[in-house]
Formats: sequence, structure tokens, C-alpha cells
Amino acid sequence: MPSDRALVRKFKRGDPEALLAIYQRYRDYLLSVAMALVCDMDRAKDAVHDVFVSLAQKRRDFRFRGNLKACLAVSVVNRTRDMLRRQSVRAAAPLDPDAEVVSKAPAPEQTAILNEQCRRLAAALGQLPHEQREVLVLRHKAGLPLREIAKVQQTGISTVHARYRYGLNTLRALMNGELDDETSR
Amino acid sequence: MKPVDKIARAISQFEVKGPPRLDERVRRHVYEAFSGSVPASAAQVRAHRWQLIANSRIAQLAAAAVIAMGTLLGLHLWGLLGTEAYAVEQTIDALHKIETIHAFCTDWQDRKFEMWIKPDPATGANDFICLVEAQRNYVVISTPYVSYYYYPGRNLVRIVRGQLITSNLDPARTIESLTEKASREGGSIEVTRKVSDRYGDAISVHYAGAALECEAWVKPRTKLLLGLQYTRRSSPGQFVKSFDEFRYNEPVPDRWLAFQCPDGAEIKPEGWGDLDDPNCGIDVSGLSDEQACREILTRLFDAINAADLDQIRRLIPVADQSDDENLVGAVRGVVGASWDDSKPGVAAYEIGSPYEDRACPLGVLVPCVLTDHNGQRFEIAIIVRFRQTEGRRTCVVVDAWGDVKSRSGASDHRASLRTVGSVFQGPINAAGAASLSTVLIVPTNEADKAAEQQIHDYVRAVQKFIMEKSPDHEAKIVADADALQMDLSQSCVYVYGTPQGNLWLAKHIAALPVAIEPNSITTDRVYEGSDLRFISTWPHPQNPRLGVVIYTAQRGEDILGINKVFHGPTDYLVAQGQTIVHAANYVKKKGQWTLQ
Repeated sequence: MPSDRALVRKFKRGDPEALLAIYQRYRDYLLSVAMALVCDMDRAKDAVHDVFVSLAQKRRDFRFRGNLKACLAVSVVNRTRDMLRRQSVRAAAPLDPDAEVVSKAPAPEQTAILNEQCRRLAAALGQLPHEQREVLVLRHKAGLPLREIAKVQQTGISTVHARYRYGLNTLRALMNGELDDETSR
Repeated sequence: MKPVDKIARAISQFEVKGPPRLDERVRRHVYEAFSGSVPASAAQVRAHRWQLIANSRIAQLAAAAVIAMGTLLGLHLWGLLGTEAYAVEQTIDALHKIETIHAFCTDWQDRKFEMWIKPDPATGANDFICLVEAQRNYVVISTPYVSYYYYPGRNLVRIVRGQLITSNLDPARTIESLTEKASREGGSIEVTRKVSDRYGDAISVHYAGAALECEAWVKPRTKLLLGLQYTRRSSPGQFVKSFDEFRYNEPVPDRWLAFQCPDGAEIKPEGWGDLDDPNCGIDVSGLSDEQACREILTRLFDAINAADLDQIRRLIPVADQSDDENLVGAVRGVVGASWDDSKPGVAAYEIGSPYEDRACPLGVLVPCVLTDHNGQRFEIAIIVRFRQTEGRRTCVVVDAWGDVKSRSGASDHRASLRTVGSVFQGPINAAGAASLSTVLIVPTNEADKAAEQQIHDYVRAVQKFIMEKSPDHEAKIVADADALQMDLSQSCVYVYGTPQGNLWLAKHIAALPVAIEPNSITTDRVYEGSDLRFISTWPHPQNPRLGVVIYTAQRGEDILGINKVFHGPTDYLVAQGQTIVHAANYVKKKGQWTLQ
């Protein structure tokens, strides 16, 4: 199996199949990252899609250091942040209320894909402020150290520490009983 | 296993699997991106257009309306080329990011006029409009809560309650408005790339509906509007025939942005009741202004809590005294939109000291902090008008000064509302409003001596400006070393210079939770750059009731012209040139100011 670096070299030379191989390799992982952040399968899919289309468009400028998987996770995080920011802008604009109801309905496939625990976790994550959610996901899903997360969030390490601690505490309060149930089985 | 470890494990094991059709969509678009975006077959072209459009926000808006209305007729979005639909989406985004629009317009009588618009970054709706018509010599300045119609030739200001609302004065929302209109009224939108005589190579967004027809031109590179021409209008109220040219992010002239009624101007209030109605108001003979304001507002809040409409009617003149709805509307203007006469409106209130604002010629402003029955706190300024009624000194409550909806936020650009109580609470605007004495501290320790001299000249110009605008205001310039030795406790302090170059600033900046370094400014996050400016207010070190305003930058040369950066409604901001990079308020708890 070609390494990540070899695939990156190939796609930067113009081979779309190399990029699609990267996509195939990390698709579910990136989808999980996006899903944990936006709690909506359609938007998670859009975020991953946009990251790869953007990579294809800017392939000559693409650089990464270290771990490709983490680098892609950061791209997804940035993309979801943009989506949420734009969504909040959009929310203030008048839009037919019926349409909003339609867009909020969960897609059937979304219900089928997520198992019960994931849905509970996604729901709990959805109650956290986005910055805290980002820190938890980048720390535990992407494996980034907090110092790196501080760079991603363009903030200080102490802020990231605080976000991490508050996020964990809130999640624990929201999910503690359920997690105990899981482990006692 | 500890609970936090369980959480960590649950997150790391959190996994979803993408459906197969995701692969196909990504595959197709990746290939298109690699090949320069033109797909191979007609069938693919259609699918591609549909996908791009379906992913674009313009189509989401259209689709939402389609779902709501159950019709797709008349919407020709599906005929767009994908790249153009994408450009339209980018135009919506680009227009949401701009800070000001300076437009050159023509009305339906072919009269030329200029407009400055500041869109609300959150909604794209207009936060500030200034319209200058040289031919007939009048200016309209409109904020979300009050509009001024200023006739310089007659030295007359009509001050009208509410915002100037006309249907085609929102260029920042042009594209969205057209899309909504298309879906609502069955109009069609065509997007094509073509060459215009006026604008050259541009993207044309042409809208045709039953009543309205117009064409917007978008610059392909920046995705910003170049112009907008109406060929048919849907109502006579649409007085703009064409926006001939747009300039973006130009500063709004101060005389319009911070409009103050000129000395001696005749003031005509419109939209309120008869403010001189002798049947309204209370007798405040023998009371100071502050005592009088406390008296009438205490009575008002008590009457509101008791739902005593008769008493409220005696305190607030409304246009139709016999109409309770009208009165309730007036009370909602003061205590909040959710109030009705069946429930108490104000659980608690604090009344501050009245102050004058030349932007508000209707009366003095009284800052109040209200707590409603849900425990929510609001900060507002209430206008109290003093008058002479049959030889007695009386006063009435006129209205709230400021946007009712934003009273719990920080978006009120006249927010000198926070001078409640005895401690300075920001924002920058409030620092200057609290004292009639101003000290401008200039640097003497700048590394760049040429820049230092220019800063001195610049601050002299600022001093002159202050003195001209407020003749009763004392403004003096003091060198930093002298300022360190002086008692400035009765003056509002403006400090100019770099953190090292101004000795007064060097001593006090350590108290601020920010770091200004040669290559970055750190507030709630790190802003990188070597040409950044920082404007902040902070409690006066010698008098916590007053504020200081700090105008600093990484380089001395960036101090010059720093007042042109739009500032005032927030506690601090970081700017690059005149572009605001970040603006926010400090968190104030127990007298401590910290970052969010």
C-alpha cells in the first residue's frame, strides 16, 4: 500500500486517483470528525467533500508537515467552522419558516448509519460550544496535542486547556450515566 | 476507568460511515477540479450544474422557497452554468464581509446622489445609511432607531422615529433579496458572463419579475457588485434607479457617521406624540435634573409594574392617547418588546445620572439597567425631556434611545449607555461622554523621532477637532512624562503612541490583558502582522468612574490617522489600516476586566 507521502506526491503531480485513494483511506475518519462537530450528516458530508475538492483545486500549493491524517482533520475542522459561521449569518436572514423545518429533519440514512452510542455522543457534543467541541474532537479524534490545537484555533494554550476542561466536564455531566451503563455491560 | 477517560474513549471511538454515493460525488468533482472544471458529456454537464447549484446558497434559498410555495415555475436558476452559480454564492459571501459601501446613485428623476451604507455584519441589513443629495441640498442619516433629515440651507433637522426603510436600499443583500423575490413572486433570474460597456468583463445577474426588473453586475475577481440598474420598479417608493458605482470599505465621513444636530438648528421631532402636551408630565420644580429623572422614571417603572395605563399615559406622550395599543407600544419601546399589561415588566431597575448627547436633541439621556421578570438584564438609555408648562418646570419620558432589540448586546454604536452606576463600564464611546475635560497624552520616547513629531502634529489636529465639535469641551495636550506627574482624575484621557514610545502608556498597559508585539497583537487570540493598530478603552487608573482611550500600534507611523478607524461601540479593536480585524468587549466581573 503506498504511503501517504507517496500519494500526496502523485496527486500534486496531477493524478486524481491518488487524491481519491487518500479520500478512500480517510473518508470514514474525516466524516466522523465532521459529524462530531456539526452533528448533521449532510453538513458533515459537505465538509469532507469540500475539503477534497479544495485540495484538488489547490494541489500545487498543498503542503503538510507530519501526519496527513491530522492535517486533513484540521482542514475538516476549519471547513466546519466556516460552515457554522455562515449558517449563523444565514439564520438571521429571513427565510421561509417551512423551509427551515424541512432542512432540520434528519435524513433516514443518517438515522440508520449512527449506532445508538454515537448518536448519544453526537447529541451531547452538540450541546457544547463549538470551540470546546473542536478541542475535544481534535484532541481525541485527531490525536493533536493541545499546543497544536491552540495553533489551529489561533488562541493561547491556556484558553485551549480551559476549553478542554470545560468541554470534558460538560460532556461528563451530560453522559455520565450512559457511559456507566455502557461499561457495566 | 475515570469518567474523563470514558469520554475520551467514546470520542475516539466515535465513528460514522459514509454512504456509497458520497464517493461518486467527490470523485466527479475531484476529477472536474483536476481537469479545469469542464466535464466531458452533456449528461455530466447537467448533473454537474445541478450539483453545484444545489450546493450553492442561492439555490438553497430558492429551494427553500420552492418547498414552501410548491412551485418551481419562473425560477430559472437551473439554467445557470455551475461556475456562475458558484460566483453568485461567492458574491453573497463577499458582500457579507464588507464594512462600508459608498455608492454613487441616480434616482428616477435622473438626479445624482451619494450614499454610504454600513451593513450589519450579522444580517447584511443596513445598520447605517447616509444619503447626500447635493442638488436639493439635503442629507438623510438613518440608524436602526432614528433618522435625521438635515436641510443645511434652512438649518433644519427633522428627527424621525425609526429607520429609513425603502425596498431597494440594501445593496449588501441584493442577491439574496432578488432570490427571495424570485421565489415569492415567480420572477426569473439569469446569470451570464458578458462584457458591459460600463463595467467590462463582468457577471450579469438579471432579474425579471411581474413588476420589477433589474440587472446587477458582479466583478468576476472580487465577486463584489460593480453596479445595479433597475429598468422597472415595483413601487414608487423605490427611488433609486441605479447604483452606478460601488466603492467598498471607504470610511464614512465622521460628520455623517457621528451626526450631531448643528448649533441653532430648528429641530422637528416626528413619530412621537406631542412632546409639549401640557396634560402629560410631572412637575419637577425645585429638583435637580438627576432628581427629576429619578422621580419620573421611578414612577414610570412602578406604573409599568402595576400595569397602570392611566399613569403611564401621564408620563409618556403618545400620538393617540385614547389607544391603549399605542400606549403599550410606547412602553415596549422603553422596557422591551415582550411587555404586555398582564405581567410585570421590570423586576428591578437602576437609574443612572442623566447626560446630554448632541445626537439626541429630544432630551437628556438617562442610562438604566433593567431586569425583567425572566431575570434578563438590559442596558438602555431613556430620553427624558424637560420643558416649561404654564410657568412650571415639568418633564416627560420620550422613548428609549437605541435599538430595543440590541439593548442586551453591544451593537449600539451610540452605546454611551453603560455609564450606569459609579464605575466606568466602557465602551470606547462612553469614555469621552463622561467628562468635559480631555487630556491627550503624546509620546516622547518613540524610537522613530520623525514619526513622533508627526504624532504630535496629528494629535494637535485631533485636539482642534474636539474643540471645534464641542466648544464647551476642554482638550489639552500633555507630554507623557508630564502626565505621569499630574492628577488627571477629572479628565478623560486619550493616549497616543506605541507601547514603548509613550511613557504613560508603558506604565499602564501592563494592566490590559493584551500583548502588543512587533509581529503580532494578542487579545483573545493572536493576530499576526507588523502593521496592526489597537484601540481600547480601559478604566481610568486615577478615577474608576472615568475611562481612558488608548490609540496604539506596533509602529509609530500607524498612529497617524488612527481615529479614522471606526471605533466606539466596543471596548477594544484590532485593525489593519482602516480594516477592523477584530472588535469585542472585555468581560467585567467584580471590577476586573478580562478577555472573553
